Order: sequence, then structure tokens, then C-alpha cells
Amino acid sequence: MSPPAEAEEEVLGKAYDARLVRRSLGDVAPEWRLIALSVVLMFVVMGAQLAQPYLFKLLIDGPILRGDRRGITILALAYAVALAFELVARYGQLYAMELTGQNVILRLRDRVFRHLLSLDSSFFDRHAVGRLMTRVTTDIESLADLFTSGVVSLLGDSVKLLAIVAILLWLDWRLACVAFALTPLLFLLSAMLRGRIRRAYRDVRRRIARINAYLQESISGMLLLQLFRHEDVSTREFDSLNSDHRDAELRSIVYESSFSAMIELVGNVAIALMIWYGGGQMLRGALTLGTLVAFLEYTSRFFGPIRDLSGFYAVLQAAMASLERIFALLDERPTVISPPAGVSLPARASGRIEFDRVRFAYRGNDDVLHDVSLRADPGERVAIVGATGSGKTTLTRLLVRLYDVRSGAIRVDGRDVRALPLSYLRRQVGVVLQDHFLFAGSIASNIAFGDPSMTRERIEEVARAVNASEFVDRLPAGFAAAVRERGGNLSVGQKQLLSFARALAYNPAILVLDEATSSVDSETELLIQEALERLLAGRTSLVIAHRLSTIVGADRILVMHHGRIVEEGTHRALLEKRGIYHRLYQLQFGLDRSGSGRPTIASPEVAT
Amino acid sequence: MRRPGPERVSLILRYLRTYRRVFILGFLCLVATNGLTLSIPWLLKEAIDALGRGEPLRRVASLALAILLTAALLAAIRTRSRLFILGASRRIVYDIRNELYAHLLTLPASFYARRRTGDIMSRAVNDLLLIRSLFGPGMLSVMNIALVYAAGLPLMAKLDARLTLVALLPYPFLLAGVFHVSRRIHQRSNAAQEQLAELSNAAQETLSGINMVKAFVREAGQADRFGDRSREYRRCSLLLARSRGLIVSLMRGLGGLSTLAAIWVGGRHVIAGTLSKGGLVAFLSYLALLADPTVMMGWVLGVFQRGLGAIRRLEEIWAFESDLPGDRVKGSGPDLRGAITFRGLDFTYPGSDEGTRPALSGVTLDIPAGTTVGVVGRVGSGKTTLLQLVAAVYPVDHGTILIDGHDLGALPTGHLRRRVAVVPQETFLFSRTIAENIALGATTASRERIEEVARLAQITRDLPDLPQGLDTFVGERGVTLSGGQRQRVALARALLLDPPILILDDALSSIDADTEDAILAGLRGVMRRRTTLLVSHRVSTVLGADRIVVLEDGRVAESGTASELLARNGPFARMHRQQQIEKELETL
Repeated sequence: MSPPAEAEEEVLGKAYDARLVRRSLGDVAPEWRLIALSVVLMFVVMGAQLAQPYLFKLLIDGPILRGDRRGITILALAYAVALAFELVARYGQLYAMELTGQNVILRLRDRVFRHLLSLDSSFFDRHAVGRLMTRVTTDIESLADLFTSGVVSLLGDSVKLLAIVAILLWLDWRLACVAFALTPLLFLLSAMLRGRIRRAYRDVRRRIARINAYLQESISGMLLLQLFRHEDVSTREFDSLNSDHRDAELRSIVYESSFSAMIELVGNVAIALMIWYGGGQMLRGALTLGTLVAFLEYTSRFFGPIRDLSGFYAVLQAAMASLERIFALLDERPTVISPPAGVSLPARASGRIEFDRVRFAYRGNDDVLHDVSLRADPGERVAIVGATGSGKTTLTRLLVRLYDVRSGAIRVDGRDVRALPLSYLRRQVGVVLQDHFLFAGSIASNIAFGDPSMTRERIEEVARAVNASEFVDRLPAGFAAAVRERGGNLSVGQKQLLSFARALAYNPAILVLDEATSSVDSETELLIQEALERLLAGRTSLVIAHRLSTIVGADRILVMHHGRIVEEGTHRALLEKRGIYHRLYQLQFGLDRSGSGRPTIASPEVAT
Repeated sequence: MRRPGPERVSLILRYLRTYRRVFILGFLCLVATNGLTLSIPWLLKEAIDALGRGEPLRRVASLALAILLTAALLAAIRTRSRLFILGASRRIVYDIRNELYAHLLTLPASFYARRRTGDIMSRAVNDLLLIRSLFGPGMLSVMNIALVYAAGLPLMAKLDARLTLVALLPYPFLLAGVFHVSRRIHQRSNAAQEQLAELSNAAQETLSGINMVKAFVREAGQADRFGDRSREYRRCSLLLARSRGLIVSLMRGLGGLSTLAAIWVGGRHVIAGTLSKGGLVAFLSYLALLADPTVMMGWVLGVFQRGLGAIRRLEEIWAFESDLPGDRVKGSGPDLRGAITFRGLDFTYPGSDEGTRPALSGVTLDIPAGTTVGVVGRVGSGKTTLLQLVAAVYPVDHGTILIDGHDLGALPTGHLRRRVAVVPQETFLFSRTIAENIALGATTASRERIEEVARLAQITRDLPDLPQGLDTFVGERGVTLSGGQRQRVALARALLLDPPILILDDALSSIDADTEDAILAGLRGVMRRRTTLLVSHRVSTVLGADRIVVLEDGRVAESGTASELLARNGPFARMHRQQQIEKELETL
């Protein structure tokens, strides 16, 4: 049951990519003041820190040697000042950096999310929501890490290293050479280990991603796992993913632990070398004790930044990978583009719809609509029938430009939909989609989804019109009752009624009902049809359903078959034609006196 | 359904006990590590004092060599200590993750109805990381801090007891401040975590409903809503950053003040001759050695607080347990033929608001084994609820359900569910192959059986369109099946169980008429041998059932055969007449 393709999260690139960094500068630039401030503060911190070992040197070589108690007090005061500077500047620097990071990611997150919302439905068909979620959450968070634990401390660490090198060379260049003798070895060792550490981390990430995907799916499908007694198998599968991950983690610890121990080792060896060489120099009188002590102090501050730098490498690498993915997302261009609002348009369309030799494919050349032409006049109610996969739903998606046609054209009031501003077009066409998607909020906020400023009276009026008020009134909180994510606390029928109310509250010139009646019992369906009759007045409508009963009252019926409109006419005319429509009709009404109906699931010979 | 959770600390103790060997070995390594670390400044002191006395270089060189050897040994042992303790933390997280998953598998529908997937995921992902930090770096640092203090303080006192006292004077005050701030860090980090979860939920919802958002031109509105959450998250993060910055400064200040005291007082002691120069240098080195673990203390405190918070949140999940009485029944159950009896059945969804109308009230029905019962009723009349109770999705509140005379609650849930196959209203497929999805309830089923039920459910007619036939991968990383195809896979999944009780909850709604005919023709033989509960919103579908039950507002409005009900002129007759009228309208 391993997935066929590797997740994109699993690809990890280089730690520095100039192209990515240049691009992200645009988001960072507005924060230049904060960044400058924290760089300045960082220098203050560093200066204050590096002054401290030098004060030790002065202390030992000066007042202590001379027995000067006042000198000690002065140096102690100097130390206190350095310390105070360091503390205040450090706090300021940390906060400035966090502020920078938060500002940058706030801006970027907003941009990414708005960009996502501008992308086509075809993009969302190709990308799982969970994967996109990580773009606006985890990926952007790892950029925040880059700022808070990154950029400036990287700069700080490098400058600090250089400063230490400079100070030591200035104090005693020979002893400095001894102190740094081992540094090349350190770089060599870390270069050798780094590749392994990186691979080990990649393994860990890849495996945790698998665990999380598996877990997410299990939670979503928990009831089925339980109803079908899949628990034992699932526990075993989970354990195998889990232990793979643990093994990868254990491997990564080996490298990680030996790496940090090694840096410490090199630091201590440097101390030993300095004692040996420095001791010799001292005996010859070429070195003071204070300088040796200062050396020891400075070197102890030298290897810390080196360790941090290698830790920073991982942060940088993760951030680059995240940036890469975020920019790839931002580079996605919607193919459904809103034209600039040029011509002045009537506030409300009159509602004429035309499909003119429309061809469409979701993928490649696999056409699901072939040369479909249809026309609906203002106020006309057109029903579209056909088997699943005949292309009915596609028609509605094309009308609101969730996708664009491959060839041909769709026109509303004689204007090509591609020439209408998207918001205008979608304001004219109200839709009830198949899945009756509701949003977390209240019943009222879901009904007023298209227009949050809607009055309570209008909301209630609309709910009454689609007979939704009946169940809403039974809820203790009424219209204020909470609707959970995806309408999880409502029945399929209730969700459907609410999605009806939502579409009606939108008061569009054109209404599209897609499969809207498939899960409602006949009684409710009849009530809804009554409501629709009232509310469809003055509206053009396309009604799509498997169940012919909902569309009998249509002015005209189009029969779709394999992506083509094969029959068209009134219900009676189509029945008389005895074509596909007649066959669909007979199948639907199996108890027809003609006896040619389909056997229903509970027909006597089945059940006895 | 809630039982008092075990103490948080007890989970920590439990795992410390389980992995005690490793932790003890790790601790011993740390003892050695610290001994060696602390001996380096001592060697340093000896070397410096030797230099001060003008001893020959040979003596100094041998001390340098001693430092070298100590350092080498130190590196080796330190690596081991980390391997032991960090390794244990990884194993512990592995154990907890397995336990958590096993527990999630036992939790009932009422739990999942109230928890968002994102919430549970964040427990399993983020909280486990926090627990890992507690057992790994957290434990490592606690031991380290304890050892450094235990060994360092006596050595410092030996160098200069008064100086030690003065140098450590600021510790109690600053530590108190640190504890105070870390408590605030803990609260603020929780708040930030919650905001992040809110943020993800907002994004997830908008992206899942993207077509709705677009159709209603709500892009800007949804983006603003997301922006608000995003800003709120920023605010929480900045508050957290302030506390973190404060604690870092406090900690650094702690080390600094001690050093200051050492310079001031220690310098005088050197002049007074009570402390050697080398002693002062060693003392400063010891302070530096103490400073790191002390700075770590604030961090460790945070790690422990976050880890305990994570444990508390996980234990909230652990505190839930199945509310199904059948889950507490041990042993194997009796063989079932499938007679179902409902007696005075009332049901209100767990966690519904006060005053909500019960989903079912006073339902009494007898369904003999092997019969087909059609259940019809309006939206929200309780049809699905009734079926779910038979499959033990929710526990029965009041009244009883008997299967072959056995109380449903007395039958082990697993035993029952092997005998009740459900095709739910909303189809869920796992991202696996079609064959694996079908075999969900019987992973050991033979290929022939899978193909047989796939044929019965009419999946085989679509096989030419599927790249790898039944082995085609479905879901996120595979092909997307149509609603009808998905329902047929769900049907095949139920048929594979070959159950005495078959439940179809409006299960063929997305399947086109031709295919439905073929499915029904194939199912005749199957249905003849078992009890079938059939929910449909269409009267015509259930007309031929042995028995029809009409539900209204959770009550049985009427029941009987189709002809009885039609003769009674009740709700069923009314529904039927509506469909008749529609038909007549059409033939006008």
C-alpha cells in the first residue's frame, strides 16, 4: 500500500539558492529599518561580549599583578556596563528579529493565500488540499525560523568569528596560529558528516510525512475502519510506518551526537595546544598570563558559533526548500483570468445563456463535451438530463468559468463570458453544487454567504421559501445555531436545504441547480420545487438531476449523452419521440403501467 | 465516557521505568562526562600556577597532554550519553504514537463528531514532538544540570568558599524571575499554538470549499477572514517572543552577575593571597561551565512545561473511551441469523444541545431474519440514525435493540460488525488500490472473491477505463473515481463480508440507472439470504420490500407491507400519491 509517487515534501535541495533569495528580498525589503536596527543591536551585543575576555586580561595583567584594589573595582564596573549593554541589546535584537520575521511571513502568507484563491478549479483538481495547506502553514513557518534563529545570527556568528580571529591575531599572532591550527580539520570533519546528517534528516522527514498522511486518512475514515473491523491490520500498517521512522531517527542521532562531541573535542584540543605552546612562550617571557587567559576565553567563544553555523545550515536548507515550494505556487498562473472591466454592464443581467459549439476536456484531449450548443432565454427553465458522466455538471462549471472552454464560446446576454469580469459573471449566476459545502459559522452566516451584510429578515424569508426554516426553528439556537466545519453536524438533507437557501439569498439572474435533488425524500423535494417555482420567477435556470421528477415542470429539456446534447424538447414531445429520454424516464418510474420499468431493489421476486 | 486521566507525571515515570536501563546508562555516561569536563579547568589551573611558579615546560606539557587525553575520552563518552538518552526519547515517542493510534481506533463516532481532524492531527504531530523534546534534550539537560552543579559547586568551594557564596548570590533571585517568566512563556506558547490551529482550520475550510467561494465571489471576504486569523497569530507570536527574549536576557544576566562578583571579590582575594591566579582562572572557567546549564534551565523548564502540556492534551484523548457497551464485552459472540428487534428505542446524539429533539423516540419494530425492510421518511426523520444504531456506531440510550434475541450491547462490537455490513450514505475510499479498498473488511480475501464482488457491484464494467484494473490506485495520488464508481466500490466492500445483515443507506444515489439495474439484478440472490435494511428517499424503491417503515420526526409513523400502508391512507400513501401525481402530470 505504498503510494506510487514520492511526495514533493520529500525533495530537499541546496541550502542556498541565489535566485530564491533574490526573489524573497521583495518581501523582506519593507522591513529594512527593523533589520538595520537588529544588525546594529547585534554589533552592540557582540562588542559587549567580546570586551569581556579582554577585561579579564586587563584584570590579571594589571590590578591583580599590582595589587590595585581600586583598579579591580573600575574593571568590575566596566564589566557591569558591558554586561548591561549586552543584555538590553540582546533583548532588543531578539524582539526586532522576531518582529521582522512575523511581519514578513504575515505579508507572504496573505499573498500566498490570496494567490491560491485566485487559481483555477483545475489547479485544485491537481493539488490535494492538505498539500496546499502546508504551503500557508508549515512552509511559511520555516521561513519564520529562518528569521528568528537565522539570518541575523548567521551574520552575527560570522562577524563574531572574524572579530575573534582578528583580536587573537592582534594579541599574539603566533599563539593565534596555534589556536586555529585545528580549524581546517573541523571544517573537513563537518563537511564529511554534513552530507550524512542531511540524508538522515531527509529520511526522517520523508517517513514522518508518510505517518502523518496515513494518520490523517485513518482519522477521516475512522468509522469505516471500525465498521469493517480493519483495526488490527491498520495497527500493523501504522506500526511498520512508525518503526521505519524511529529507525531513521535513531540513525540521525548517531551523526548528530558525534558531530557535536567532535566540535567540543576540537575546542579542548585547542586549549591543550595553547597551554603547551603558550606555556613555552611564557617561560621565555614572550607572553603574559593575562594574554593566555584571554586567549583561552576567546577560543571558548570561537567554537560555539561554528556549531551554531552548522545548525543554521539545516534551518537554511529547510527554508530554501519551503521558499522553492512557495514560489512555485506563486508562479502558478490562473488560466481563467478576469478581463478588465471595460464596457459598462447592467447591474443585473437579463439572463440569456448561450453555449456555442463548446468543447471541453479536464485533461489533455480527453473531451467530455463535444460541440455542445444550447440556448436559454431570460426566465426560461431548462432541464438537463442524462446519465452520470454525460457532462451535465461540466456545463454548469463552464458557465461560471470555474474552467474555460477548449473551443467554442459561452455567452451570457450575448457577451462571451470570457469578456465579462469574473466577479460580475459569478454575481449573475447562482449555483447549488453537488456537495452542498457549508462553512463553519452559523446557519445565518451560511445563508448570507454571498452577502454578509444581509438582514436577518431576508435570511429568514429565504429560509422559509426553501422550507429550511422548519428544521432551523427546531434547533435551540435557531438561525444562530453553529454550523460545524463542512456542516458536519447537519444531515445531508439539511445541508442541502441550507445550500438552497444560500443560492436563493444570493438572488442571481441565473440559477444553476446541480444534482440538487438526489438525496432529498420526495416530500421535501416537492416542497422545494414549490419554493423554486416561486423564486425562479424572472430567473433563467439550468436544472440538472438524475431524477426526472424535479425537472418535469421545465420549459425545455435537454438530454445529454456522452458529452453531446442528443435530444431537446418538452417533456411530452421527448416522451413521444421514444428515444433516450423515454428510456431514462421508464427507468426512473419503474412502476409504470407499461410494465417496461426497471426492477426496483425491493421488487417482490428480489425480497422473497 | 470520560474517566479520570492518570496523572501526567505518571506517564513520564512509566516511560522512565520502561527505559530505565538506557536512562541509567545514559546517566552514568553523563557522570563520567561531567567529571571529565570539570577536570579540564582544574588541569588548566595546575598548568597556569605551574607557569606562574616558573616550573619547567615538561611539567606544563604533561598537563597539556592530560587535557588532550581527557578531551578525547570526553568526546567518546559524551557521544554515548547522547545516544542512550536521545535514543530512548525516540523509542518512547514511537511507543506513544503507536499507543495513540491504537487508542484512536477504539474511539467511537461521538468522539470524532466533536473533534476536528486538524485538532487530532496536531496532537499527534506537534504534541509528540514536544514530548520527544521532554524525554530527549529535556532529560539530558536536567541530568546534566544536576551533575554540573553537584560536581562544580564543591570544586568551586574548594578553591574559594567565600567567593563561591558571593558569586552564587544572584542565582536565587534571578531564578525566581526566570520561573515566573517561563510560566508566562508556557501560556503564551499555548495561545500561539491554538491560533496556528485556527489559522490552519480557516485555510483548510476555504480551500476545500474553493468552488463555493468562487461561485459566490467570496475570495476577498475569505482572504480577509484568513488575514484576521493570521494577524492574531502574529500578535500571539510576538507576545511569546517578548517573554522568550526576556528569559534569554535574564539567564545571560545571571551568568554575567556571577562573573562580575568573581572579578570583584576574586580579584581582591588574589591580591590578599587567599586565591592563586590559576585558581581565579579555574573559578571563572567553572562559572562558565555552570553558566551554560543555568541558561539551559529556563529552556529546560520551557521544554518540560510544553511537554507536560502536550501530555495533558494527549491524555484528554486518552481519557475518552468507547461509549459502546459492546466494546467492553469479552469473548466471542453467538452466531447470528439477523432477526432485529427494536423495543421502545429513544436516541439523542451525544453532545447535542439541551432541548434538541431526539433523533429517535419510541421506535418499536420486529424484523425477522432474512427479510428486506425499506425505511422511508423525510430529511432528518432518523433513517440514518436507526441504521447506525444497528451497526453499533452509537450506543443505545433508552430502549433496546435485540439481534436474534441478544441485546445489542451484550454482543462484542467486533463480532457484531463482522455480521453487519454497511454501505453508508457518504462514500469514503482510502488512498489505496480499488482491490484493497474492497478488501477493507477482509484483508485475507482471495483475489477470486474480490473479483466476484466487484462483478456483483458492477465495477468490472469500468475496468477498461482504469489503468491497472482493480489494482488502480485511488485518491490523492491516484485516479479520481466518479461518485457512482465510488459507491460501487463501497457496495463491493460490504458484499465481500457476506454478512447476515446488510445495510444500504441510500447507497446507490449517485449510480446511473442502467448500472443500478444491473447491480440490483445481481443482488437478488444475495439479498434473498440475508436481512436487508434499505433506506431510500424514493418510495418506488421500497415498494416491493417485505415491510416498509415510515419515520417521521424520529418516530415510526407507520409500518407494514406496501399494500397495507397504501390501504391505510397514511403518510406513506401520501408520499406515494405525490409521486403518482408527478407521474400523471408528466403524461398530460
